[in-house]
Amino acid sequence: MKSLAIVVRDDGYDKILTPLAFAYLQAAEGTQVDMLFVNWAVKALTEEGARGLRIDGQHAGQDAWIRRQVAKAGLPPDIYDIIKALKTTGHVHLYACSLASAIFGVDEDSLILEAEGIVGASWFLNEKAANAEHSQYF
Amino acid sequence: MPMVETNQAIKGMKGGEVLEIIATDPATKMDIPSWCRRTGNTLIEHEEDDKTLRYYVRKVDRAP
Repeated sequence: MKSLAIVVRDDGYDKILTPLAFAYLQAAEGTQVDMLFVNWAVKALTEEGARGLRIDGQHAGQDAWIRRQVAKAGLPPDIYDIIKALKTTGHVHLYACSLASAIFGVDEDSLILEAEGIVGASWFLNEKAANAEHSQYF
Repeated sequence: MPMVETNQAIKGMKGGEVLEIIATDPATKMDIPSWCRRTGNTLIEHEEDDKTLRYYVRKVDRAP
């Protein structure tokens, strides 16, 4: 696979793990991965938001256990540290959706350095998702 | 994540060199052969001892 576009909507710790792990796996193999963070997930592109992600809902009580399992599987248990690991591949680009940024209070100054910036969903869908070999929505 | 570590390890190797992969994830029994087919690397040998899986992969030599 040469290119992969991923749209991430959910911001629960456990729910965001899968798209990040998929991105890491493919980027390690040389696939160009572009990720758009929409809705609450846009907060994951701020340091406070990334480090503050927790498991919610019926599995909330298993947060600490899941983090230990994630570490055992070879990933950093902290979401921001996973994002940093993704960037070391040199093949992952992270974008914040402009609409989500406006709604959920994220601006360029609060973005982590690992993020490319705030972009319109239209730009991402047409320039990245439509041209990617494969697209995924989480 | 064995496939991430495998990709990272083989990047630093020369064509023809052999990488030993030691894993405990049973999914590698499908992942490693599939990865070899995609990348052109050769799975020379696969051993399974209790819960430990060992793979020996020769890096593809892309030199002309």
